Amino acid sequence: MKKFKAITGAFIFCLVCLSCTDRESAFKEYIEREDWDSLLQMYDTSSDSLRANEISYIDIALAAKGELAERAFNYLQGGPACLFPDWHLQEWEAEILTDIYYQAGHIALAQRMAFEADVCYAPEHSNRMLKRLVQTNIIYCNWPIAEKYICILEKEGGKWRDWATAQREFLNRQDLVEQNEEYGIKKRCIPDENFISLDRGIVADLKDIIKANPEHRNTVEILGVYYLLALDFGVFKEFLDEYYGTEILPELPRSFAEAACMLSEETPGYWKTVGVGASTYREYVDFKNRMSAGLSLDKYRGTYWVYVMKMNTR
Amino acid sequence: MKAILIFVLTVLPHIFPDYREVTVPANIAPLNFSVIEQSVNSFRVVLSSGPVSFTLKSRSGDISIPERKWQALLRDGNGTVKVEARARKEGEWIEYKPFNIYISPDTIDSYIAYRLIPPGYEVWGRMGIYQRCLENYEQTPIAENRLTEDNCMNCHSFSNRRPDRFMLHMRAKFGGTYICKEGKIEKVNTKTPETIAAGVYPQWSNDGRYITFSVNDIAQFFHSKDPNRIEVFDYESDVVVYDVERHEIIACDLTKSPDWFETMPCFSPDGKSLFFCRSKAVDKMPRDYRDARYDIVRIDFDPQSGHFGKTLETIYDASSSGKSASLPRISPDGRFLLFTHQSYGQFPIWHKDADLYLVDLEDGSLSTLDALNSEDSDSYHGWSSNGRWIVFSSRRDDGLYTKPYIGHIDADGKVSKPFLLPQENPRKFYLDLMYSFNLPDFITGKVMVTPEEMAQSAIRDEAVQVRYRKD
Repeated sequence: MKKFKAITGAFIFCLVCLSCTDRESAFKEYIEREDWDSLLQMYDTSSDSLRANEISYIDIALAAKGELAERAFNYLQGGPACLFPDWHLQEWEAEILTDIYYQAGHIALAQRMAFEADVCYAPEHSNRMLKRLVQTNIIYCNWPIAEKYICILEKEGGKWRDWATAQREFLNRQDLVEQNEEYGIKKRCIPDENFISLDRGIVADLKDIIKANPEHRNTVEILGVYYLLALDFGVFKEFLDEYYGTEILPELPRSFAEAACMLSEETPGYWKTVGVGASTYREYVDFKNRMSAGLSLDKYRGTYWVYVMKMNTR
Repeated sequence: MKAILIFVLTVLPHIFPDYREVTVPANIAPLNFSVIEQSVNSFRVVLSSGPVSFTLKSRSGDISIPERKWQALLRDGNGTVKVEARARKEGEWIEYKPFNIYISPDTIDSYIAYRLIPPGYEVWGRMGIYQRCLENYEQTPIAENRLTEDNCMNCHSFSNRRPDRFMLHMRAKFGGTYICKEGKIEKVNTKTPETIAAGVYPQWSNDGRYITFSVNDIAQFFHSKDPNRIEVFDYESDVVVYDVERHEIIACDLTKSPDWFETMPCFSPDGKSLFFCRSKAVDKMPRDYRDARYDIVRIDFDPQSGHFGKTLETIYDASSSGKSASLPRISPDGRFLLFTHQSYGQFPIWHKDADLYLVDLEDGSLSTLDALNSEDSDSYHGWSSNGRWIVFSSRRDDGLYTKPYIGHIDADGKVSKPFLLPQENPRKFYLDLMYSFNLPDFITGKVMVTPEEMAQSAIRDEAVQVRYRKD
């Protein structure tokens, strides 16, 4: 019997390990393929336990799809470090940072963190980080160094070679870079005037990027969600006052609208001034009433209000 | 017999490395190169010098010169190697304009030492200090961080280019300055309560008694849109001299002043002068980083007593013309000051406008060394023992990975077009390499201390604590 139990135990252990390994490799594969839909399908919005890199990649996937401000709080967020993790010289942190900076249009830091991440793999390399170095160097029109990384990726064969070879058409062709859907809009994110990255904090950098390229909606969404994750309502209101109604933010996505309802506590009727629907505001009032009465808030799972409540009770 | 149609072009072939019209020493390894041309499936290259001539063929464009034939060219030739290249393009042969490689009678030290490091920012990964024989392609390690838990190692310096007298720093784990003298390794801690940091940017005096350092509070930041990418700057810095025998750090008010940034010192060959860079201290760093503009100054130093002189002499005034100078290096005969000239700051490696300049210390005349310099950063230079060759780091090829270039300089300070450190297959080698050659410097022979001995010292030895003396 003991022997049977031991064999059964070992079998279950192997299954669990296999399952973890499969999940981990699928996670990596989706990131590598930038298959954001599949990555998001891996996660249940009701999940109460996500690893730090998982929630960061959910945010990156949402940003890549242009849905960050709409859906970020469907998932269990843990604060502003989910978007911009602290950098402790670990490759996984650098990989997240290069991805979120790239989504935010911060090309200088996207390039820097890709380089840092790649060096972390020494003496090996990360093809995904080399790809980012190709992208960012093409955006900066640094042709010789972009070509060096293209050559290295071409030696890898398969999908890396195919992708890298396709990038050759951009070398020495700034006009093509500017016309390209991805590179063109990222290139316009580079501010005309140089600044010291992060010297004034990420917020100031993102604002400069928005100023440089008011078409880059992702930067606005990332900045707004960053404020919301930090529970920084004062600056979030200033943010809405500045951008709401402009070309880049004609309507508020869900989390911004929910936050605007909360701002109406201090400034009655504020929600109306930023185009929030009456139904959303009624839901907010209902949410507050239920919370006061100690009733279930299940129907409000996935709202920004629940995030605020959870963070305040931590 | 099939007729061969040849079009003679008036243009030089595009080759990598660019060895067209360069001057090289007679004891250099073969200058293999690649012809970089599109749609070519056959190359022929004729190398000739006096009575020696041979033809090399290649399908890929990679030209590999057999060592014996190369040596015959250099030994039995007339001092100029003529290179004639032909390429077969779409069934027709085209002939490029020939170019020359000039062989100097001035020999070169047989080795250079350098650090190989990813040209990165905060993470360094694998790195090490290596030596390379210039007469062949052999590279061997002097110290490697894979043996010391991937710590940072930097700032090597040799006393009078002697392979048996060198020093380097290790940072973080096993931190300290490692001084190797005639086979013995001593680990010292050069941080004292009176100085702001452990020593960096060292230069060891020719007699082996003193090492001059600067002590710096260093930081870096990243530009959002600037070709220079990164800025390395000091919040404060001072220059000190370390007495290797007495384990004593020495400084005076003229090398260690709160009103000035003093950095990157070097001794004159006779050890009686100390040259260093000096800028008025900038209060608001990094905001005003462009205001740090350094001159090169000199102060007397008495190697017998270890005392400084009482006055500073400005040798090169860069700041009054809105420029900056760094990394002074004096020629072995004491006549020339070689330094890096840039718009601002003291850390030229990230400055695209950084160029090598030369001051004749006999008459004060300045040369801009146009033949050596490029559109990108040229810096971190060193003199050969005979003063006829300069090795330096250049970012000219791809704008990021520094490579060692070597240029000839004659007795009057006239320079020739430099050549890239030869490799067996330079196109492949430099394309695949993900490291920068950092701080190349000549040595007269091979360092015999092994990386394992360096690592043993790092792990086993307690650091000797140095003391401070104000002069």
